[in-house]
Amino acid sequence: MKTLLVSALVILSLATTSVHAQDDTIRVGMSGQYFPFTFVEQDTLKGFEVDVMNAVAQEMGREVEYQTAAFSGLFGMLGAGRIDTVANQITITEERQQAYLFSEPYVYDGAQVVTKAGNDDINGVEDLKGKTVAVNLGSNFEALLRDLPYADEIDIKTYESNIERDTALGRVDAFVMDRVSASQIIKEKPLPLALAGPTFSQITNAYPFKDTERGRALRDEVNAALKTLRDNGTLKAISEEWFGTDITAP
Amino acid sequence: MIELKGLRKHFGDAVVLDGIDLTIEKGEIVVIIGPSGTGKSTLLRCVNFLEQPTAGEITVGDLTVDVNRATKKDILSLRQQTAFVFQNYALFANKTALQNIAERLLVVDRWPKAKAYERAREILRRIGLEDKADAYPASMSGGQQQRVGIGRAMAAGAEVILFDEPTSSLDPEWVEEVLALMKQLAAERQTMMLVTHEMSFARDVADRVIFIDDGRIVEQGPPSEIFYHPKDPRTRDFLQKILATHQA
Amino acid sequence: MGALDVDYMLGLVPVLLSYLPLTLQLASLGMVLALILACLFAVIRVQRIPVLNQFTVVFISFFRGTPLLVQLFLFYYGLPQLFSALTVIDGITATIMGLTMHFSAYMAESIRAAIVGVDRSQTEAALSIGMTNSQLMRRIILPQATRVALPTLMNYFIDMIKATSLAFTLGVTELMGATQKEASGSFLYFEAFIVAAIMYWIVVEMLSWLQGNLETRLNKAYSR
Ligand SMILES: Nc1ncnc2c1ncn2[C@@H]1O[C@H](COP(=O)(O)OP(=O)(O)OP(=O)(O)O)[C@@H](O)[C@H]1O
Ligand SMILES: [Mg+2]
Repeated sequence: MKTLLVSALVILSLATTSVHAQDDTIRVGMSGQYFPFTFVEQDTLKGFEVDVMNAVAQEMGREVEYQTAAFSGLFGMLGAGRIDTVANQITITEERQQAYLFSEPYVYDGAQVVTKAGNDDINGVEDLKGKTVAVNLGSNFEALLRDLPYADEIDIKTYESNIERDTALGRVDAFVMDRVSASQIIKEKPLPLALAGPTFSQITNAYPFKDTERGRALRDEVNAALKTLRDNGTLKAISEEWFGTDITAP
Repeated sequence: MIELKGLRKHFGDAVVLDGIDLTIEKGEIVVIIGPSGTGKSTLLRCVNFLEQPTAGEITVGDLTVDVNRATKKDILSLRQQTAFVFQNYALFANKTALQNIAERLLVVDRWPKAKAYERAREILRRIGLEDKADAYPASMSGGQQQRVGIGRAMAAGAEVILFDEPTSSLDPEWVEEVLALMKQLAAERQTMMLVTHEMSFARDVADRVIFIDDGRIVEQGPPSEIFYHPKDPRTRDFLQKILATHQA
Repeated sequence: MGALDVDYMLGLVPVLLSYLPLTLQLASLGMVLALILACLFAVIRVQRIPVLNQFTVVFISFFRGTPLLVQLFLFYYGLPQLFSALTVIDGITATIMGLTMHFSAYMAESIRAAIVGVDRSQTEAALSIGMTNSQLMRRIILPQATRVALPTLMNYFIDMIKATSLAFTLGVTELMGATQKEASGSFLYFEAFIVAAIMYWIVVEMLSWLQGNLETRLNKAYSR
């Protein structure tokens, strides 16, 4: 019993003394669960977000340290100063702008309704009346839906993950996600899904920072890096590699 | 020697012990009788500080304690000098017969293990339960359990052993063996304070019988006197009733 | 419905297996600390130790009355916002703290019930031979209460193992977090989660086997 206790305390103290990131490292949070932006294959973190951020960090001359956490935890980590920014297709919204500083957008996209393939009932956002619609917990698509004049008639379900699978299984009528990743899912994955109609709200995605001295400095560095990468075609190249189109320009 | 002076115990407004004065000589066997609810158990429990007395003074051996000034240390030493045998045995269910007896030697008196267990085995021999050394209480009969209960009380050579109706919970078939053990202790002149309804035992073994009613000592004397020539009508009344039911 | 991608599943086994130790470490550390805390709380409650008793009542009420996830968020995100020095509490520590406090609150109540369930006369017997309160607890009451509480405590331990999956919300990639990430990369959800489920299952089965053995040993004293 005593030895157990001692070893427990030793392990605990080891756990607490984890090394802290140096100041020249940029700590980036992402969910690791948002294909093809951030995901894991055989224990390796990959995706558009990873490639872009690696390029940005290199341009900044900083090391980058990725921290994966459930999406619902990412803004908490940002607020608590545990990470410097979030690279997870964070959409610029008014609310978020009140709490955080945003870099220049690096993705231009739109909200997209997706249904199970063969569902002819829903041909766009106006057909969601009376339907059950899934969105990711903490994403801005929920707010987008709630802003619709007929929002009361939509049954909005928030998901931690696996939103597309429940749509394919028919548990919900549709989900709303950004167009790019929705088309990517349909193209690459064995799920019977289809885009339903055009996008209904343009969104711009960027990196949020805390409004602190360090946050402001990093935001400026990131903006400079983004400009260079945009001008020298790196952003476009990364985008085309992942999506076949350039989503980094309006 | 045990001496109680003006011992009182109140439960809220209820006065359960109303000034008990009592001296018990070394080696004396005292039986306490009285109607139900008159404070017999409370008296024994106060001597052992299982109940905190309200007022009075308790002397056991060399130790005199004013109950209102008793320190933790006083209480512990008082308890070490006064062993208790419970009506329902109250053996430690997680310990064997041997461990039940050795427990206080090990923990309270801090004897070395070998010595404590040797002593416990000797007691088991005296109570005739050597073969049950490694048995747990749940596997013993009521009579055997109560004998271990008495063995536990004998363990550290306390000044006095307090018995609170030690045979009342037993099936009739086990009563004799427990009484026999108590007689054996009496023959060894172990000081005893005993509450019982076993009138024949009281008559044969007691040096003195004390009749308690309403928290007071009403009458006391040798058994022959109390049983055959009670002076107080309450004693007479009580004995008539109890002899009618118990066939002493 | 297509066939199971068995190759994918087999390939995933070593990957997920490498996250199992962290899951077990979180749960077992949480359990040891929660047990210690719970015993303390239970004894404080039973002996009605002034001040501490009131504190314990409030503590237990709070940690039983709020979801574990909320508590984890409070430790990990909330505290550092109030006191920036507390950023040193990393995800693993916050998870262990959360598990410890949350489960100790539950376990304290079942340990308390088990303690109260030990025949009161044994307490008197122990006091009558001059044992102190702490000797009484350590030597007589807790060993018996342990036996009574063991099945419940084991259930809490199993719950705790499963609750470690919340750690991913704090950025700790344990078995569940690793599975979620792998699954969202491959879209083979069923395959990925079945591998994880089997791992949890085997661990819990091993624990149940251990519990059976322990119970037999503890019960030895009480069987006729
Ligand atoms: N803890 C307690 N709180 C309140 N009253 C109590 C308590 N213990 C005993 N009493 C009361 O004190 C009185 C004396 O009780 P006690 O057990 O000493 O009687 P007794 O003479 O041993 O009776 P019996 O022959 O039935 O065992 C009873 O009226 C009982 O109800
Ligand atoms: Mg009584």
